[in-house]
Amino acid sequence: MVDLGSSSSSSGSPNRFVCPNDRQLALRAKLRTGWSVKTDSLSGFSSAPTVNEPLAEQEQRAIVQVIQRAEKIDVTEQERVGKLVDRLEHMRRNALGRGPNQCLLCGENFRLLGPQRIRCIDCLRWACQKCAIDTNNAKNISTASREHYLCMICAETREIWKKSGAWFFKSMPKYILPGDSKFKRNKSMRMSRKYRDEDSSSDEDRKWNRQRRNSGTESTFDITDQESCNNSMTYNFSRQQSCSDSQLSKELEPLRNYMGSMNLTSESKNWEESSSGDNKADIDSLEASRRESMASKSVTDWTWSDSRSLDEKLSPSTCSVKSSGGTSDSKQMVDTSMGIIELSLNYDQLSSILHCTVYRAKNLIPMDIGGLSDPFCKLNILPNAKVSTRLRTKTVHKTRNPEFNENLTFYDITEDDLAKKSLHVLVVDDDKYGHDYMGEVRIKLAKLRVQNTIYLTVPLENLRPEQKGPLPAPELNQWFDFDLWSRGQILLSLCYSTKKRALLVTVVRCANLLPMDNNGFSDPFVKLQLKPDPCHRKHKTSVKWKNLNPVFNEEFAFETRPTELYMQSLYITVFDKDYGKSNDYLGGLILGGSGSKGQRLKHWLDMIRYPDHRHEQWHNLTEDLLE
Amino acid sequence: MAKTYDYLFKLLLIGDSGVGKTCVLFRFSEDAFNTTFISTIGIDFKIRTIDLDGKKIKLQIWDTAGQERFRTITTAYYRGAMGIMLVYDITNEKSFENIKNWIRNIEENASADVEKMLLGNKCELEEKRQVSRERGEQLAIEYGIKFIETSAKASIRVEEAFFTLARDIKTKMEKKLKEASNPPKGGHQLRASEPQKKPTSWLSRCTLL
Repeated sequence: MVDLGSSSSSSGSPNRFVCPNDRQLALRAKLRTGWSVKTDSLSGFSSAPTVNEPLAEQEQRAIVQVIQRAEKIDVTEQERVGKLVDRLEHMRRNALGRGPNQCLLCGENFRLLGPQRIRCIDCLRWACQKCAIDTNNAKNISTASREHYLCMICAETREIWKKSGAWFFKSMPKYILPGDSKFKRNKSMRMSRKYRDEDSSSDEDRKWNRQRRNSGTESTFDITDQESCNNSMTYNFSRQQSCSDSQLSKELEPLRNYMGSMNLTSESKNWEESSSGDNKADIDSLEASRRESMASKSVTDWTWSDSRSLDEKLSPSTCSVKSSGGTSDSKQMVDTSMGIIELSLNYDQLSSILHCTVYRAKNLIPMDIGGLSDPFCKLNILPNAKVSTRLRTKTVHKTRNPEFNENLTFYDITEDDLAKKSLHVLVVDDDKYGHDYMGEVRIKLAKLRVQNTIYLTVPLENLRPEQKGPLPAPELNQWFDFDLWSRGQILLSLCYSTKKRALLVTVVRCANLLPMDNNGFSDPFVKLQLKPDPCHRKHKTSVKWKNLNPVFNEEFAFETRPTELYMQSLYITVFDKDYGKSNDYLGGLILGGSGSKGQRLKHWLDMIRYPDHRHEQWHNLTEDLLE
Repeated sequence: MAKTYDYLFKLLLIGDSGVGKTCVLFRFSEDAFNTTFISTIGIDFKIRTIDLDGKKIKLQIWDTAGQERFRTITTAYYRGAMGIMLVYDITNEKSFENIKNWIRNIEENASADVEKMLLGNKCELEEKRQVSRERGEQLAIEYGIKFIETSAKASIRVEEAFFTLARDIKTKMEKKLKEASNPPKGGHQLRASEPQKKPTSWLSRCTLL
């Protein structure tokens, strides 16, 4: 009985008279010692009888100090892991690929001559060579009968698995997201917030709770954070689409669940905001929409802005007014005929990362015959465009008021860059054959040096009213996107002759074609075909040898009726003539029918509406192969 | 800004009271030695960042009290450890015999795949030796773990011991992630046999036609 009393003291060992558990029994069986009271005393294995005296106050204080020291290290570790997780999340969000024909990350289309496609061995999705890494390093070439490629996302996931210690504990340890930790530092500020609506406060509270959980006082690390695991299970449905195709081994699964839950918090942030802005989508006055965006966004910004000075934090509204006023100077010269775009910029000085969030665009110009468009944004840091500074959003189909709600991240942006460079946002209509210009805006990054986060609601500008001639390449080309107009331009003249009852197509000239031959030139010729056409007529121009800006001035006639023209489309393809091998494709274009939009559609309709007139216009050639 | 590192490994030192766990750690973290014996109260830890194969590894090394009365506190730290150093004193037969019990303690409290290592400390006291090197080696072989004789006082092979343990953990980590990603070998063989099947079926079809 005395023994029982002593064992119940605070620092006591487990009760000696209680039957040991199965695991202990199994282990003792291995040691062939049985489990009598005697063995139990042996388990103490110190010669002196166990003294279960409580710890002295001094000892307790010493231990508490050590535990506190350990906690500090745990917190920095959690912040470090949080940063890694955050980075991965950015990567995931910025992945552009749609379907098996595009690179998972950069969204580049795989073509015959284009980038080689590589299958990631973890998620089994396709990536281009630039967005994948070979896991077989030089050391085990002998075993590398097959290539082991990982897409950047899976490689990063693995890296986190290693760096966080999750590989050992078989689940992600606790972590603190960068946004959360900042929040923690400014928790006194929480009360002085001006803008506070229901949604955001609940969001905030959730974070607050998580924060509290993370900084729990146990210094032993609790491996499975039950509560957040449960959360991830319920939230996970939103990510399932992307997760279901990944046949990861089970061990990596918990991490993914974590990611799923992570992503949701950020997504929900966006949704909450978009819903508030949605019903006001058709507000024409820029001033009104600016005010609206201020109200809805100053709250959400709060959670992730990286403003180091508190004064700025206190007045996000004044910041956004200043910044949007900066680009459009004042109300007087606002021209919203091309539509407006809303975005925010956030610069992280520590990691040299520029976060750009594209929220939405409104009142874009219509491009297709139904008065709608398929817009997406191309973002570029200029001048000195590099591949790494060219990002795009997803395409939003059949709308003039697209909701993008997308975060794009530019890495390695130095403070020097901020001073000199500007962000070029180009809105483009996505089209099966080529892209059409829908306006653009340039934002000087210098403002980010003063304040870390700025909001912008800016009108799109039309810097190229109509293509009157070939682009004065290449320095102007730098301002526009390489992809879009890299294949050169063609000047075509269309005319429907009522006398001949035929469509007369004149190929006038081409400009800025790609050099395909070793001599730095191409030998271009143009093929023309009207589809559908019962006679299957094809026309070809002569070959202009060694010329990147050939002048053809050749006219061809397609006999057809005006009513049929609405249904038909003209396929124009430019080839480089080669002997002994197949001709190289230089570029193509479709006019009319369902395949064309924007300028090309307008050209075609003008030709039908005003017969017996020559309609001459420049068009961009696209690199997509036309069938 | 805190020093950046690639990985964080948590190590643990256990062994009887007075075998020199704290001194080994002191030698490794500060490269110093203190002759006065101060019994560790409960737990303590030291940090040292090492460079291993180009990776910066932060070692958080927990030092535990060998005394029985702190056992409850010390065992709480077993589970978080990725590597455990079992330390005994070569001049103390009893501490060597107790290693068995410490290992059992590990099996009961630590993660199953924790990396273990046996250290025979105070090897500079050759004239007072009670446990021969062979016996230490024999015990290590028995448990399938590595063994090193060290001396914190004379600074013999202390660094080597910690580096070996860290390297073992790192190797284990890389092996684990490889296993997790690479399909089991059966999968490879299946895939290799697939192309072989095709020609035969094609040939058989030909003969039928």
